[in-house]
Amino acid sequence: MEQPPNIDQLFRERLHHAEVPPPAFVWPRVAEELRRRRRRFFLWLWLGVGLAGAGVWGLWRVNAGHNSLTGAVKTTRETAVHPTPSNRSITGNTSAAAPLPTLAREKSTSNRSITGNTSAAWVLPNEKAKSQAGTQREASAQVFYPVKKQKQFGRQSALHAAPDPLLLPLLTTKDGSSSVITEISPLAYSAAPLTFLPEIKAGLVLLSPAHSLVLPKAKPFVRKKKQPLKNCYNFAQHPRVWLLDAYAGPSLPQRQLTAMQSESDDYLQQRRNTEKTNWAFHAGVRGSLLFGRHFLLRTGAHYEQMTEVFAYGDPNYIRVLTEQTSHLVDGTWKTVLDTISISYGEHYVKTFNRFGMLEIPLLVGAEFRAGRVGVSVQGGASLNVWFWKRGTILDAGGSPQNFTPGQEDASPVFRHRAGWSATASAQLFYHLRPRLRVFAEPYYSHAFRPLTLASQPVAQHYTIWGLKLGLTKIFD
Amino acid sequence: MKSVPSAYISPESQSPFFAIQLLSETDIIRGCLRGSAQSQRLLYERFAGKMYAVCLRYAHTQADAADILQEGFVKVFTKLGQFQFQGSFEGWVRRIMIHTALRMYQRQRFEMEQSGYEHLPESPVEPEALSLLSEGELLKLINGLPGGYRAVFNLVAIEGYSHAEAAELLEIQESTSRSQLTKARRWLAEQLRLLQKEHVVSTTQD
Repeated sequence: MEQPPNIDQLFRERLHHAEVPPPAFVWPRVAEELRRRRRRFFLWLWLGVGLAGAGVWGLWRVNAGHNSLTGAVKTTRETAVHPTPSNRSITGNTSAAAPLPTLAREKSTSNRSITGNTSAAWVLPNEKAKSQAGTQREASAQVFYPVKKQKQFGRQSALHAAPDPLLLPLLTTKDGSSSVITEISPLAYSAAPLTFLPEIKAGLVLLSPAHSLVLPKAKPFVRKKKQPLKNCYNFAQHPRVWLLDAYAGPSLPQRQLTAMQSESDDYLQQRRNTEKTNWAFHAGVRGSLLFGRHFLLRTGAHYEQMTEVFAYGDPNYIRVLTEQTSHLVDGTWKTVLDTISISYGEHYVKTFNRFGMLEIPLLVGAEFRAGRVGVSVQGGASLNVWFWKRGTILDAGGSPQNFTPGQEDASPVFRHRAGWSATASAQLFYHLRPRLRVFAEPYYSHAFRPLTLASQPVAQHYTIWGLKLGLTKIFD
Repeated sequence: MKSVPSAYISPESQSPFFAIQLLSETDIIRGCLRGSAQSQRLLYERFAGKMYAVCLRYAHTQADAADILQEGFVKVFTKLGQFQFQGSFEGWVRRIMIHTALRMYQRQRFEMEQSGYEHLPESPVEPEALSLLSEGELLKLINGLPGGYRAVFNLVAIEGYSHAEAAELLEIQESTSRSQLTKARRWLAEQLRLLQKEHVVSTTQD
């Protein structure tokens, strides 16, 4: 059921045109918001105007450069001239005996600008008449730089004392002849660099036939290439080169003996007591591809030889000296074994165990240079082969045991191949010559698999530290 | 020279805006279009009271009403160029305020309460009951309505919008608008009846 409509009407009459004074803070907020929006609008407006102006200025500059290039071409054509003896320069460095002529500029009939990119003709006033007479002469050109020779020019020129050289046009009408000759003070050059900036940059060209100085276009700025340092290879020109390293150096192998079973601890201790690392060295050749000026791929052949000392003394050793004698008795040989002597004491055995390992490294690295010195870091994996093993160690029974392969009494103890090693090194090099370096390279290598066979109660690992000292030859 | 007694000088005439208060509405609008801050201030002064009353009817609180008023007037000044000088300028400003208020209502819609006022008994409203209440008390009554009811009641009952227009503005079904208007009326009638009883009791005691 619809509610009687009077409630709508009553509320509408009372509230539709009701007025309630708003809080005082509303208007300041509204005004501030309006001001903020206005500032934002003008900010965007000025930004747009600025961008548009920058665009217009850029287009104007591009067009101006294009026009100046055209003017330069014209100038080049005009200055295709030959030197003559009558050539004179206002710089004073070429004709010191004669008083320097007044530098003047002939206002050409084509209203060429003095400051613009169009060519301006400069003439010597005392020869202007000849030029006006249309005398055909060979043209010559000399380039001089008024700024650099300013002092010299100023001393010798009569215009040096010009009383009012600073005011533009810095050119004063001189002669009374039919053509207008305008002088220019040397001070004018220094006082109005902006006015003569194109001329100062470009230098002036004195033309003999018309004795006019043409202002060539300034040469574009070309950044000079960095001169390569002496005895330093220019890797910038050859970002991909081959490096051949030859090196040798001392090594410090660290042997880790690990008992495979707990029962082998005594044997492990005997091994540790009887074997000591003696000395080691390495040598190798390595080829590297240096690409991207800094990145390295290296491989080669690395030989590592380690020597260990096996020293063992058996305190319970008994030496029995026997003599075997054969006698012919009644037509048959009889053998008599006689004990000569029996010695009790310590049996001492000392051998030099040698291990030879060949590694084929596969390394990646990076090289950073600063002049003749540089560093490189590389790392990767190496395939190692223990191709040479010779010596004696204690066996599990506590007796010395020959493990040299190929010998009759040898027992198999070591593998032929240990597998893969992890290798890393850092190289510091110095260029003796552009293509020759010396380097020192500490390195680290760890063989993952033990050198010993799996049947051995004690596993033998190797970690090798070393210092490679060598030479590097660079090939393009 | 005969001096004018100070009692004859109206305080309003001392206001810096006294002179331009005589400007027509069109002149003020044109001044605002030129960016005149004084014209903007004058326009605000002329409509702020009415619009604040509108905002109070739609807003939950006075702070919300002030925010609506501020945002609405900023819209008025920034969109003043769209006014075609056809029809009532006050109606144009009022629509902006209502739209601004409804936009805030849409933002706060999740807070809208849903109450079962349909069970309230129907009772006719005596005209005298409303005459006893001031505009402020009537506004408090409307503010007591749940958000959805208040919006529909303001739009349909006070502003004169149709249910279709209100439904479109509030993004609800037209039937929902009708239902909410009915519930709003019942609720207001009950509140008015209670207020009338209190008024009778207080009058009898006096």
